Amino acid sequence: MDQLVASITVALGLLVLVLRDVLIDHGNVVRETSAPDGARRDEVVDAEEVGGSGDPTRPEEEAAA
Amino acid sequence: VSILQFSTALTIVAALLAVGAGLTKLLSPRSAVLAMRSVGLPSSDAAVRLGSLVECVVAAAALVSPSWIARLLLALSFGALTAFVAAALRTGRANDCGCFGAAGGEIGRRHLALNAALCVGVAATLLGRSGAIAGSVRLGSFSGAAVLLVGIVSALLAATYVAHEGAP
Repeated sequence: MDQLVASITVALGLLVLVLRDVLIDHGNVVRETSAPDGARRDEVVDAEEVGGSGDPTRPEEEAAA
Repeated sequence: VSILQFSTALTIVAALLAVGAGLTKLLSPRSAVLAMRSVGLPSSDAAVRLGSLVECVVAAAALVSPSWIARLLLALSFGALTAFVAAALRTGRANDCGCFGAAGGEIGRRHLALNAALCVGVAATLLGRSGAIAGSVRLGSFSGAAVLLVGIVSALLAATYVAHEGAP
């Protein structure tokens, strides 16, 4: 049973790596923002909110046209 | 859960990934030939097919053979693949690693990291494990079948991760 737990842990680690790609690819962009304490933080925002197409393979100019 | 069980899990993933990669290269060796030539290695369709056949046999033996030699060969093959990806990254002349035949696979840091992790994982089993992995996991039992199923899913996830090298 311990072997199954170890295998599932490895699978979950890989799943997180793949899901991270899927979530970031799915029409979102990362915007750097300033926090009140002056620190810089990355904020994930919807691409349409910042004028993008939501399609990372499509140039912004083409989307605007 | 011990380190040995994690290294066994990584060995199962490495072996299944190697079998899948070997089978795809047997069917379409061309992209592997081009990738090898890009780093100055001599290659041909027949040589890649022969290497793929050996890759499949070594990977299967690493799972079912009680000998440590097959696991050593599997670790060495992932070490060689890590060196190949590092060389390809340095020359920058090929994008497709050719690992998965016509299915594609990109050369990049992800590929380098995955190969290195699997090499270390397989090598770690040499320190503590004796006997066949298939026997100790008891593939005939329910939990053994579940370990194999999770291993197959993990190998597919690893291939997917490498295939999206350009993603953030």
